[in-house]
Amino acid sequence: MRVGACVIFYKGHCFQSFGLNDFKFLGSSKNVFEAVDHHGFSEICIIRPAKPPLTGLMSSHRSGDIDSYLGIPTILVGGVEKSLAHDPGILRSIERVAFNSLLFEPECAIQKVVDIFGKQAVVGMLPFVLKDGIYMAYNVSSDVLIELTSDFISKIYSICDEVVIHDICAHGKSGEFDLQFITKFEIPVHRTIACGGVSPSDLKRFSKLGFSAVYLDNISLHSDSVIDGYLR
Amino acid sequence: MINIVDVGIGNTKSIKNWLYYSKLDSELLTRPDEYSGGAIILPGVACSANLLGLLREKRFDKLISSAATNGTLIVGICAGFQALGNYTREGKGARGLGLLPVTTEKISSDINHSIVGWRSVEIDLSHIDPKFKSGFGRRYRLKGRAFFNHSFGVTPEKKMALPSSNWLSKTGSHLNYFIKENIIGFQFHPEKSAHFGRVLAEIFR
Repeated sequence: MRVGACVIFYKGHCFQSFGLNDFKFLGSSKNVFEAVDHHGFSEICIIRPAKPPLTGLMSSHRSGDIDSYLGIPTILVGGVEKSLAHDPGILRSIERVAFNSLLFEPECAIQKVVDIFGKQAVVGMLPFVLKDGIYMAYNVSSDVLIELTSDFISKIYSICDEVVIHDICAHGKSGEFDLQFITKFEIPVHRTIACGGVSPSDLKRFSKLGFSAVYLDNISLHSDSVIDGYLR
Repeated sequence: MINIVDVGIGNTKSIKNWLYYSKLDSELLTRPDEYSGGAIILPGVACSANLLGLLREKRFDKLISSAATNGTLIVGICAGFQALGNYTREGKGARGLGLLPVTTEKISSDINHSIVGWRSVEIDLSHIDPKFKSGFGRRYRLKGRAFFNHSFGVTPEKKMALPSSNWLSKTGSHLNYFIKENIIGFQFHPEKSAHFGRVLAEIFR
């Protein structure tokens, strides 16, 4: 099982988040990426939010810090379609791309991306919440919650190589990833990356369950939670 | 100078960063007439059929073939490796550059998605042209963990006696890498294989 780090990136800075509502400044992207590389993670998932996580943020750093050297593969989430159209250069330092909004479009919409990157590089990003007992998927670009169905789940697994199942409410909280979601929709865990609330102490459990990967969020970037020694 | 072929796709910047970190000069080659000598790298993170179409459209195929004949170091990474072979079945299929006696095919449907992750790799340097070995000193074998991400795999066209280390352990019938003197293909991504990748960069020294 791969163990990746998940960071929220905005204009050269990285941020911690709790439930993707509350944000705290984490550090410069250069320092954060170097730490992630150094501490033995399999890969890094960089989430680019559409809006600044914090108000009053200085945007003096260029947004191209994503393309500095990282010895591990990079998955980019957020604004990939826009980058393809307006700033394709930024994608030349990315190994896999993850999509959220395109999952809600007809299947042919993602074919263009498959033609460019190859199917193995296309990952689905499915943030979910449990609201009034119903699991809802979050469509980031339209900012709406949509009730999840098994048909929708089947569709995204047919068009993506792997899918990041992101428990938004558990993001930044140790040991709280909602495994019932996995059971309810009979998620094919061998093609699933669990993200949100997964901590280093959960690794053995998720590995036994057969997940292809997990992404550790904020906590992975704190010195008392390093995973040195966990083989890539 | 190390030349990274840039036809508009592939993780060329990652490769450039990898070489830069290893204190090796490289440039992105966007047109064949810009080439003035040095090793050539074909990047990955692409559909190999698409990559081949663009190589031919931009006339890189002739440059690469000519350089290979002249003994220039040619390195193909992932889709770039697949493009060096005779044929790829990815996408709509495409004739390869014919520089390595291999074919690219879909990995068995028993494996439901791509091969993605880190695997142990052992590289036998004995078939490499000696002038590209100097960066490795006396070593004749390299071992390490490398990152793979591919849904199509490379197989040799004819039965060949290859060491077990050449074969992808997951399928047993696809290649991790292939070396033919000055032409090398890596199915994995050395530019994203951390320490082992940095060791492999010495091939360009």
